[in-house]
Amino acid sequence: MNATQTMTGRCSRWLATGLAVLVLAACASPQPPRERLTLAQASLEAAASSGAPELAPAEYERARTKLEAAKVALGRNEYGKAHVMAEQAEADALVARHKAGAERARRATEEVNAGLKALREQTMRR
Amino acid sequence: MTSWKHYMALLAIPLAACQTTPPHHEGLREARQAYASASLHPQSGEGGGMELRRARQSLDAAERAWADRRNDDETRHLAYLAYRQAQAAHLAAEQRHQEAQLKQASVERERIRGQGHALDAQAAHNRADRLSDRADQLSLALQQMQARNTDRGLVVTVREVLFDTAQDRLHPGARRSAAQLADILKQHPQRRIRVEGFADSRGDEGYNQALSQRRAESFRDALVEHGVPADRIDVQGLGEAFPVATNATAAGRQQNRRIEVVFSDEQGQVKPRP
Repeated sequence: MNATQTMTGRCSRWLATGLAVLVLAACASPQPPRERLTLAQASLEAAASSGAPELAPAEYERARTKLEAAKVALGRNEYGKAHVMAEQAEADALVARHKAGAERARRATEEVNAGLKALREQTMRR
Repeated sequence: MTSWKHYMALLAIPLAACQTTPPHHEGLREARQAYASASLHPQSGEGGGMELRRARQSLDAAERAWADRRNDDETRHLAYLAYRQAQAAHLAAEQRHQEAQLKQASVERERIRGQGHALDAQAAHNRADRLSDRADQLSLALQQMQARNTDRGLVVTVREVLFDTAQDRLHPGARRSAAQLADILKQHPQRRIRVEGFADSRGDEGYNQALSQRRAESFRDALVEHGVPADRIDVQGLGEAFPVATNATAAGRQQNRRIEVVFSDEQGQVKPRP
């Protein structure tokens, strides 16, 4: 009985917290998520400067489209949607940036390895 | 009592919800998988880097949103963030892996280049060895002919070249010397020689000059007979000059009637007399 009561107490506390969050979430979005959009914009720019438009075009495009959607939502005062889109755009831009980095490193390695092969053959012929 | 039972019954519902595992959520499953894959990458590194930590935070938030609140929209959004952040972490690890390969390949390239230079150096060294080997062989061969190593190079002196002071016929000893020298010259085709003829001081200078020239030419002819190309041999009669012994005694004069064969260096250059 004692155990059940403890469990009940813990569970009700969780329930209360969850309910509070839900209520808060429902009431939230009084503030436009401008900071989120700024962060997403910065992330997209970082991806662009790491060569993502050429090296990871699909990933870059996905991030760019979502940031546009976030801006549109913000313009319509749909702050919740703007927040979600901006957060996803930031994550997508992160993927684009790292994909471009990995791709660039892969190409460089390929190039050096090709040179290495030629050099090895040249050394063999001596 | 009744109100107490009623209260318990009400509590039973959320209690059951807390104790059972939350139902399947596809987005969450994908996010967990992506996170696991990224953290298993060999280049994931210490703590997996910033991207992996962010993925962990998003995944934890998504798990809570689903387990505690069953909020599908929130869970799906957070799971999406976790999925992408894990993907970014994986790609960052892949970039580190590629960069490590690149570094290794660059080191290997430098090593091979260095090896190439070492091979070149070894080849040059071998050439030098062969050159000095050949020089050693020559001086060894000439040692049997009592060659001297002088400032001008290896010099072989042949005495008793002609039978007689007034004759051109080659003495048998000189003939043997010519045959030996011809063999040596065949083995060292890059060498040239200068045959210098000398006379003692008896008789007049003009006669001695001509005689020394004849001595040298006779020896040259003997070498050519033994197969040495004439253009590898220079001939010079030096008369009474450069005596090696006194002309006051018969023994000394015999010493002075001689030829000297001077060997060129490897490049075929014979040093002139100072």
